[in-house]
Amino acid sequence: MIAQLSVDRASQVLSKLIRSGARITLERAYMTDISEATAKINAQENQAEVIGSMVDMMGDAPFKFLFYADAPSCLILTDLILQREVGLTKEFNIYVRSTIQEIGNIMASAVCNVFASDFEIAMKPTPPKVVHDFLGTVFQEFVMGTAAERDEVMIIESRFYIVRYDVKCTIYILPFPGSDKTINYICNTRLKGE
Amino acid sequence: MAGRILIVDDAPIIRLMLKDILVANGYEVVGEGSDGNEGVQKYKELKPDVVTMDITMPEKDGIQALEEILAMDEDAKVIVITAIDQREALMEAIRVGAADYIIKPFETDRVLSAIRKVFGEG
Repeated sequence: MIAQLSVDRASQVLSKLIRSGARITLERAYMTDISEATAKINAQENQAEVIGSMVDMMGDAPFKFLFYADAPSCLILTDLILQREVGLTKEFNIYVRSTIQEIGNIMASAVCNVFASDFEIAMKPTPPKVVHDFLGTVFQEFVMGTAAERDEVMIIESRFYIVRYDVKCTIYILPFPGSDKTINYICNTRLKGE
Repeated sequence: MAGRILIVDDAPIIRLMLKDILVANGYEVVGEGSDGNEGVQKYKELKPDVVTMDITMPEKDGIQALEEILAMDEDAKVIVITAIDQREALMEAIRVGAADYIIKPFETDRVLSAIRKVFGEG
């Protein structure tokens, strides 16, 4: 439920930000072996160069947030945010970098807001870090720090598709060790209390 | 005379979005700053009519910058900008003396209504 609400809210915020409908094409929360997940991504999509925004959400149940899209999609997202004709942004520049940084920041903030308002889990985002590399490398950096302490982790994964411009983007939400138990405890306590 | 506005935000894309909106609607953007220190410095130099100030910024955040600007000029008009979750920071900014606020992601109409309110136009 928390995954669904978070992803729905993130989708609404993304649509508002780019003034174009973003459809959720995949939404799942699952336990996975982090080494296997990383290897799978490396094997399948290691040719894709992506630009991503990583945010650490600190507070009652800390988690990591990653938003990314492939490089050509990021150019389109920049034009959409600036309400310019799509195709005007032709190369990676400070505005593309800043666009991805802000999308990550605002979507992560929206997820935090769901945690706070619906589940009373207080969290605050740290400034986003922009990464520009192959997907496998970005994912490896994303899971670093959580994977060191355990092999199996819970991941919330969601993909968005902006139909009109054929833009695909993805978010991952990865609780820090112990946060998944905290979230479960808080949600169960709260739901039982209603 | 067009209202003179200073934009302070660490995100170049937000500064550009705000500038596009303001210039298209007849306001003059007299300067930009990318953190709270620059915001305070540029306020001293440029004496703008209104400042738009992001809250979460490196070096010096928007609330500290707001406090310093109001200490220099108690009539300063500062509109704070924040992402959706930062309610506590927003309340703090209003307590310190922000003239209005805008929440990201923002609509053009919301930006203009905050600016017009502060200029006494709306």
